[in-house]
Parts: sequence; structure tokens; C-alpha cells
Amino acid sequence: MEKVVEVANVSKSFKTYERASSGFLASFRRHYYTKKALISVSFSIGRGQIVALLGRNGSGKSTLIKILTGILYPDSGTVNVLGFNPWKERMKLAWNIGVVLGAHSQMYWNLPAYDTFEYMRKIYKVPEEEFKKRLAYFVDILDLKDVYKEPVRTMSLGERMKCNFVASTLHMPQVVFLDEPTIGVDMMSKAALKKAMLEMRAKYGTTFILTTHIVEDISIVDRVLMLHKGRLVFDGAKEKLEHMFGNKRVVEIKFVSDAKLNLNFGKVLYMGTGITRLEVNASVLKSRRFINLLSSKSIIDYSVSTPGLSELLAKMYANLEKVH
Amino acid sequence: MVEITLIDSIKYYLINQVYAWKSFFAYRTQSLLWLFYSAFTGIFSLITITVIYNVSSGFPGWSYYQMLILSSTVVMVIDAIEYNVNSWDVIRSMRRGMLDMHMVRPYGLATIMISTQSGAKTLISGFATSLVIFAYAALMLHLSLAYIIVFLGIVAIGTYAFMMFLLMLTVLSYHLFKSGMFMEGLIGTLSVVGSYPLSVFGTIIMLLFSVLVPIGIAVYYPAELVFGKINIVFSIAIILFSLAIAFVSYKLFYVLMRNYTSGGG
Amino acid sequence: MITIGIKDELAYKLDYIIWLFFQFINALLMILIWSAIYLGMGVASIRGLSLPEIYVYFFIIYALRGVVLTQLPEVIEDDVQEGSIATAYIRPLIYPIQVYMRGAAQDLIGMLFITVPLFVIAMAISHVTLTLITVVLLIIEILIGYVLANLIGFIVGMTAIKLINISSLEAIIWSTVLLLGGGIVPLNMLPQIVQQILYLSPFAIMLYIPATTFLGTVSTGIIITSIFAGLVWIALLAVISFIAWGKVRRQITSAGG
Repeated sequence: MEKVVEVANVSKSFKTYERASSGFLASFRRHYYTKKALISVSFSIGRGQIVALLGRNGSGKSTLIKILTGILYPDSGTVNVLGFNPWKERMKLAWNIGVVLGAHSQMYWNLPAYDTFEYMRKIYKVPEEEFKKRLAYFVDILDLKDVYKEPVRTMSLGERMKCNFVASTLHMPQVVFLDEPTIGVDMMSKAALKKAMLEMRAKYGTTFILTTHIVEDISIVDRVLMLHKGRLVFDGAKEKLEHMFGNKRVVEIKFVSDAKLNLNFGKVLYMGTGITRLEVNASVLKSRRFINLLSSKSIIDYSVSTPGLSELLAKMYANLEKVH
Repeated sequence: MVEITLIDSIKYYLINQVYAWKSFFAYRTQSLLWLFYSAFTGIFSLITITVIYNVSSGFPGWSYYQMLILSSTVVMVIDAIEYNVNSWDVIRSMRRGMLDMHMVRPYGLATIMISTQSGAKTLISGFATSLVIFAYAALMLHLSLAYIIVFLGIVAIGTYAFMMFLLMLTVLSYHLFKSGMFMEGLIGTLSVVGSYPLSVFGTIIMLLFSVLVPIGIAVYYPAELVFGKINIVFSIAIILFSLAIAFVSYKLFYVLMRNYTSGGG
Repeated sequence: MITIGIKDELAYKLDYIIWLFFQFINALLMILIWSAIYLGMGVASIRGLSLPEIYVYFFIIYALRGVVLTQLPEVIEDDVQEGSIATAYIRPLIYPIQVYMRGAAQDLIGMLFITVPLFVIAMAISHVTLTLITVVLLIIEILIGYVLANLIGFIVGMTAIKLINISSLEAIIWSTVLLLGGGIVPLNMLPQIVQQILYLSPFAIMLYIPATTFLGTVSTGIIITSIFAGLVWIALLAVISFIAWGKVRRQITSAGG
């Protein structure tokens, strides 16, 4: 697979300070120290991949994105994005990348979203006819036809984020970086953004790299890179992440409230009147005793699901805290 | 991929102005009000100089109308610079990470900063008022059109150079203080210094504002040339010095931006 | 609320030191400018003010700028732009009191870092002996000036609800206060009729009257007139503020969402 992003031993530190002590006079004293935002991070990304960069707040995700896009210089290491050194060849790289920064909108607040799209067309020199086709495409897949001619200030956060996405991809970049694109965004808009990414990947081979600390955002990704305190602690398929924590399943059973049932199959996550939630090994689901239980007349309904990735990651972070 | 030329950079600047003004006029009534009361900024220096020349003989070697030329020019210069590079806004956008969004565009960093900072658009009306005062003073002094064009040409070169210098200083200020207070204070001081002949401040201050923080190249020395107080050789030296300031500031700006740490995220 | 504001402002202590530095520099520059004017004319005094008195005058003016140039409009503008005005509105304290306290915290630090040092310098370079009456008058004048500045600041700040960005308006208002208050040219250098009008305005008491009270170059009649006018203006501006707040309260919207 052609590599579009290659990162080798990238490190980055920042000088920052904290208050020396408590008390009123503490504001006059500062203790300066170096915070290591990234420590010897190495990975590569192939063309057409959708990669999630996971990690808690302060793990170095945004710093890494800013280095990949040429906004920041690393202290050491090498980076190659589409054959360019991002900080030395920032302008050349910029033609080929799109960046969506969740925390900062690029839309003109008081103007219709269409005006910002027009602005992008001009600065990226997109031919008029091509622009119309692309805009029609994005308006359709992101369901923006009712809003994109309205002033941005009248839009919901989800609509603004979709417009932000369009503005960053109108010039059809080969690689799109999204930094926390779904913070505060409603479920429908998140779904629309995910759909757009999958379509663009399928149709144009666009590579997406998105940073997030919201686990549900990674449902569409091929691969997960996880940063913790500046280090790359996981690099692999999403399924590999899940399998790291074994074959657990969550079973929710609704039953007649006064029924006497033996529910000793695994860890009880929740017990209420007529409802229980258990964490069991996958093998339990095939056992005769469990099948007999579910066949009982006292059982009203049941469902089986994989434990949320958030719980898995919580365990992983807890383990990482012990190690680092 | 397209190589960015000087023409592209100018077009990028102009495109940004179009959309900034469109955004500004989104609130029509308010924007007109803003422009109206900003026009008065140009009048304060007129009042000050008039009062001084009413109660005294003013500054040795400088007539009332010559002082009006000087004080209106410094307002125009600072307004023109702040229109493009409002230091407070630049530093705020750097601290909050808002500059990042623009840095991923395929244009030079200096071009991006000058083009995309919202600046203070309303300063254009203060600029216009000062231009009227300038025109009035030039009329009263019977300055020929040729002199005015030469004067404004040298002022424009000096203003561009000084703008690059202030842009570089703004980034340095961000690195050192993470605050726009230094630049705001400096601009306020420059407004005072530039409104009067540098010679009244003594040799040390004169040198300071001619060489180290060279507002003199944009206001005082062009005025001295037009009023025949310096010769053509000296004025050529001023132009060359302005170009050198612009070049060095430009280079230093890029060196300083290497250490840009970006706020937010 | 004031304590938290002070602690918050001390995080920006370098900003105040820089601000003090530039106020000191600007005061020096004004002294050099007026020295050139006096020396160019070869006179000992202009309109009753000698050169040494001009030096002291401008140090006092720059000291008083720390009192008069209140942060109130910026506090309100920030609340509107960041959308936090709605949150502030639902707190137990009414918004004008809240915003005054937050502005006061910033103003107190400003006074500590700027007003006090510049006053000390003015006293050091002057040969004025302050009597008890002078001190009492100064305190009254500065208090009236501070209240007036905050009332003006509040009314200007209220326009942010409609205009959102009021930095240009703020600059104009404070430049007007400085000009008409004697912050750029001493008021006694203006035509007589203009002086008489300005003594009745809210501006003279903010800057010119305290500065000339300190120097002892202003008559008791003018002091009393200005104090009385200042109190009347306080009442009038308080009513305007109250009406403005009433109108704005019904229109509070916030950015974002």
C-alpha cells in the first residue's frame, strides 16, 4: 500500500509553568518545567485508510496533527506527508491536505456558509464548474441544502461542523486531518460526517486521520493509534483493541419481576426490578444452562452486546497509568 | 499544486478584504455607526495641534500646517498598519489557536497574517479623516502634486517596512510575554512620538525611533524631505534603510514563527 | 468576587508592569513635548502653568488614567462575545453589581501598579506641600471621577449587547474623556468659554481638577463647581445606566450554541 504519512521518532516538548505553591503570593512565583508532548512517535499511514488517533486530553494528539500539517516544528524526528516535509514545504503540502479543527471554525460567522465555500474556491483556485459539482455532492451527502445559504451564526453546532468539513474538502485534498471534529455535535450530524468520510474514501481514495477522545467516533475507522502521555502505546486494527480484553459480552435480561431465577453466569453489572445486566464470557452464551434460562417463561426479553469500547479503554488507561 | 507568486499573494490579500468587509457589513446599521464614530479618531490630533499653536508658537522650525501634515500622516500610517496587523488581534489569535486554521493554507505566513487578521476595519474611516486634514494642510502650504506624490510614496515604503517590523515584533512579543499589552503600549507611544518632530525628544529618543523602532522612516523623515529640511541623498538613504528593515524583519519573522507553539488543543 | 478578580488579574501581572512602563514613558514624552514648546517660546509659564508644573501635571494625569480608564466596557464586551452573559445573568448578584466587581478588581490592580507609583513620582518631583484640605478634596474628586468613569463605562458596555464589538466606540469615548478632561492639553489653555463649559461637564473632574488641585493652581470656586457638577452627572448617568440596563435585560442573547 502506498504510504501517505510516514512519521519516524518524532518528539516535541513545550516549556510551561505552574504556580510554585498555594496562597495569595503564589501568583508571583512560577515553577517552569518542560512538558514532553510527544516522545519518539513512529508510524505510517497508507492511502485510503481511515485512522483514529485516540487518547485522553493532553496525550499529544493535537500536537501531532499540528506537526503533520506544518503548523508546528518537532524537536527531533522526520515526517513525510505525501512526499513533503510539512514544516519546510508547508505551502506545497497545503494544496493537498484539508484540516478540520473542531475547536476553531473557519466559517465566516455573519455570512452564509456558501460565502465561505466561495472564498475557499477562490483561494484554492478551484474552477467554477468543478466547484459547483463538488458543492452539489457535499450538500447532498451531508444534507445541507436547507442551511448552506443561511448565515452560519443561525446554524446548530452540528450544521456548522458539517459546513466546516465541506470548506476543508472542497479542493479535494488527498489527506484530511480532523482534530476533535465531533465535540458537542449531535448524533445525526456525526453520522452524516462519518458517511461522508466513507464515501470520499471509496470514491476518491481520500485518507482521513481523525483525533478524538470520544470512543464512539471510531466506529468507521480501519486502524487506531493511541497516544498516552506523548507515547504511541497502541497501533493496530480496532478489532485488535477489543480482543485485547478477551471475549466478554454484556447480556441484558428482562424478566417477570417476582420470578426466582438463577443468574449466576458472570459479573452483575446492574440489578433492578425485573431487569439485570451481566458481563459474561462468550462461551457462556452457548452453554445449556444459559439456553435453558432464556427459554424460561419468566424471561420477557434479552439482548447480547459487546462491552463498550469506552470501558475497554478505561481499563487500558488504568493499566497505562500504572506502567508510565 | 500551484506555485504561489506575488500576484497570487496580492489576490489572496484582496479576497480576504472582500470577505472581511462583507462580514463587517452583515450588520448594516451597526457597521455604519462604527464607521461614523471611528472617523472622529482622526480629529483628536487636529484639536491638539490647534490648541498648542493657539497658546504658543509651537515647535521651532515647524509651522502649524507642517505640524498638521506630520500629525495626520502618523494617524494614517498607524491606522493603515493596524488595519492589516492589529497586534492585539494577532496575539489573541495565536494564544487561542485561531491562527492554526489559516496556517494550513497554501500561502506565505506573513501574507496569511496580514491578510486574515480581522484587524480594525473601522480604522479606515479614521484614515479618511486624517487624509482630509492632510489635504487641507497641503493646500494651505501650497504643496505641489509632485511633492505630495513623492511624500506619499516614501511614506508608503516606510509604512510597509514598519508594518513588517511591527509584525515581527508582535510575534516576538507573543513568545516573550504571551500578551498583547507590550505592543498595545508601544503603538500608543508611537502615536504620540510620531505626531511631533522627533527632534523635540532629544538625540537618544530620536535615534531610538529612527533606528531601533523606526517610525521615523514612515513619517518624520519623509516630512523633513518634503519641507526641505533634509537633502535628496539622505532621503535615498532613508528609502534604502526602509527596504533593509523590511527585509530583515521578514527574515526574523520566519525565524520566530519556527518556535510558534499555538494555543488551544 | 473582587478577591478572585484580583488573583485572576495578578496572573497577568507582567501586563501591568508593561502598562506602567508605557504610562511612565508617555508621561516623559509629554514632558519633552511641552518642554520644547516652552523653551521654543522662551517663556517661564503659559496660561499660568510653569514648566515644572507641567511636568507634575502630566505625571498626575497619567496616574489618574489608571483610575479613569476603567475596564468595565471590556468586561461586558467579553461577556457578550463569549456568551457568558447569560450565565452571569442567572447568578444571585444582579449583573451590574457583578460586572462592576469584576471591573473593580482589574481597576484596583491598575491603580496599585500605575496610579500609586506615578503619584509618588509626581510628589517627588514637585515642591507642593499637601494640606489636609487638599488631600480630602483630592480624595473626593478622584472618587467622583472613578464613579463617573464606571457609569460611563457601564453605559458604553451596554451597547455591546447590540454592537457586539465595541472596541472602536470605547477608544473614541476614552479619547474624548482624555481630550475634554485635560489629559492631552491642560484645560486652562483652551478658550475661556470652552473652559467654563468643560468645568460643568463630567470630564474635568476626572483629570484636570484633581491634577490642578494637587498643584494648587485652580481656584476654590472652580473646584466646588466641578464637584457639584460631578455629583449631578453621577445622578444623571446613574438614571441612564438604570434605564439602559432595564432595556438590555430584556434583550440578552448570547453568541454560540
